[in-house]
Amino acid sequence: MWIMYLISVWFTKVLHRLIKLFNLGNGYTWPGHIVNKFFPKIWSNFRRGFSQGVILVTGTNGKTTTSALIAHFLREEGFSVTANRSGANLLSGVLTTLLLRTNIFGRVIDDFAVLEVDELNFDLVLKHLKPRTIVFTGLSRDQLDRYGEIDSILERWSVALSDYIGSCKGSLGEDLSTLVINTDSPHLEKIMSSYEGPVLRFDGSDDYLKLSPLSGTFNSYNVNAAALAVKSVGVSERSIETSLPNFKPVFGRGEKVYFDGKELDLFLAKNPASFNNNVEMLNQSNTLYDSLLIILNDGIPDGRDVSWIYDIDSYKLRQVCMGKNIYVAGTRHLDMEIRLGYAGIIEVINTDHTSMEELERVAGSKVAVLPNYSAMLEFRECLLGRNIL
Amino acid sequence: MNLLEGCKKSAEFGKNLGKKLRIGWFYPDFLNLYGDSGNIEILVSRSSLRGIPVEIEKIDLDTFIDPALMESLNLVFMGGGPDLNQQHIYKDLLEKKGSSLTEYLDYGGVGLFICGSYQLLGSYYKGAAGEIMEGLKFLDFFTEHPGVDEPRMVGNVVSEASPVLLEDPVFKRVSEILPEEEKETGKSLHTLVGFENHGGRTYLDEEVSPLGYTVSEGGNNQSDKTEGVVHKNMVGTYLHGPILARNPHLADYLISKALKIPELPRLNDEVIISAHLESKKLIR
Repeated sequence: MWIMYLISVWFTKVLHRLIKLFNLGNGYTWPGHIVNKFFPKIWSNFRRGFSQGVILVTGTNGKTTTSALIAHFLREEGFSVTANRSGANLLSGVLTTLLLRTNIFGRVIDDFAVLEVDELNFDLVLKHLKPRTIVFTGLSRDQLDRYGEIDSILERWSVALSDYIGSCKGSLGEDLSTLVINTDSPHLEKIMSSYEGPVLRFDGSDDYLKLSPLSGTFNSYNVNAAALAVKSVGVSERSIETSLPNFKPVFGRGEKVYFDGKELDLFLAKNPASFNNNVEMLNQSNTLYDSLLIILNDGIPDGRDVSWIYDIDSYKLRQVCMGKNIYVAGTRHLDMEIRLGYAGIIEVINTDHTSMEELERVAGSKVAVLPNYSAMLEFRECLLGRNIL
Repeated sequence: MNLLEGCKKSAEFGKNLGKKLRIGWFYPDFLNLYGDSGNIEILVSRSSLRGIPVEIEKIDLDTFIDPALMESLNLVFMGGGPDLNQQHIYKDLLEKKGSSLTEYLDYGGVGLFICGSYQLLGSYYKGAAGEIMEGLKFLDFFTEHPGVDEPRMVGNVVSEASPVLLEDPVFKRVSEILPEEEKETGKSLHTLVGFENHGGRTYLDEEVSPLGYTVSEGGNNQSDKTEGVVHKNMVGTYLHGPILARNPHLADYLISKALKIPELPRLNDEVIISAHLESKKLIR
């Protein structure tokens, strides 16, 4: 058994490096996928492997920033943390991440694991791990052509939780996880009603947000969720307040990129909720942007259906475009141009977010960039090169 | 995109017309999936740009429908919704509003029905677990979900407008919008493009005309290539996008029919037509 275990660990470490070396992908999908297929028992090593426990974060929006904040709070407390990146939040990516953060004997290195989990992979991951805390950031319509409807996600979460309660009852001395949920998400209350463990609720008040470098109402929820999650594992109020100012936004979530004398601020806008949130934040912000670049792709990770751009609030859209040069790019730039046109924004310039020459032509020194998922990766790759990601 | 570029005169059109577009929007809070409300925004925009005033009448669960209200409308819109939301409105629609709605459509009222609301106009909907929901029985078609193990029908769709639509003089006029370069295909845009996402499969009776025939995968079901339905002045379809975004001819068809005017002045649809033609590259 331990031989299989060591083989899996080494296989993952070697395959991950080879994939990166030959630039065949991010190296998080295949190793975990193969190990999970041939040796699923490996998960039991991680069920109890972390001395301080595992924290899971799931939901449609805010997973990445919330889990980054949790990891940040814990590191500032002096803990070491295994954390996955947003592109590695499916079952295979989670397992690869866990296997990579082990020593040569396959022993877990870190105190905590903070894992963001794709909403439709949450049930799969929960089967294998015994989290100390689970954060549900909330549910909104996101990439529905991939996911089906909100009802079916809720159904899967609900089944996952009741299976999980059942599995905990079987084993003596196991406490149920603490759940951290959004008070403004009525969908969630329904599935929590039968939960017997502790449930903590966060809202959108901005007391913590003011201490952080983040802005926007949606980030209030992220900061409050993260604070509650770390309080549930013993981090003090005071420690949270002192760590907040040093938090660095995750890439594409308020990240700044400098290029050709311009400052480009990236705000991932992958669905109506995040697009509306970002637009609202830009409308309230004191920063004056000269230009706005909207990039719309329809790749598999984005969802092939771009209908959701009509769920963007037209009024807020007009507000954010006012007085700025507006650029559109991406595989579905025409659809975005039409959407803007119907909102009354008629002066729009087409550009290419994968060409430095084209980006040099974008006017002004401060540019707000709203890309969806694959568009953001392509944009960063163009300006920063692949390895930085 | 400036729809009035080179079409400044169009903006004057509505001034002397003395008509307004009154849209009855059924269950806007419950049935609004995949950007369906964009259809309303597009109808409003394409009418207003031509100087035609628009009024939106939201028809909700608590709205009392009387003949006077239905008579005051010249266009009805109903979007798609998640299953749960469809159940919320189902009883209200069937028991309180259904007969007024089908009567309106029977008398030639103009209507656009997307996805779930299109399904409700047929004889019945059989759900994934075999449960039967009676439809409004406006037209002779039915929808059956083949069960949760069968994949949903999801993807980009291109369809050729059906003969019924192509022979309609209004549709003929509004679809003559192709630029010179597209001469091979003639002057008119006779395709419809959009994105479908549905579990139920719809089967039309032989007497019922589909809206179009798919040249891609998808459509009403997986076997007969039909997509949507067209009858008198009502259009039912599985296409989102929202459907009117890349089908300006369909939008103008609905507006023309609603206002009973033979010809609408042109808008500059150059960008939209490019997007429409580009969509043919997206199909599976």
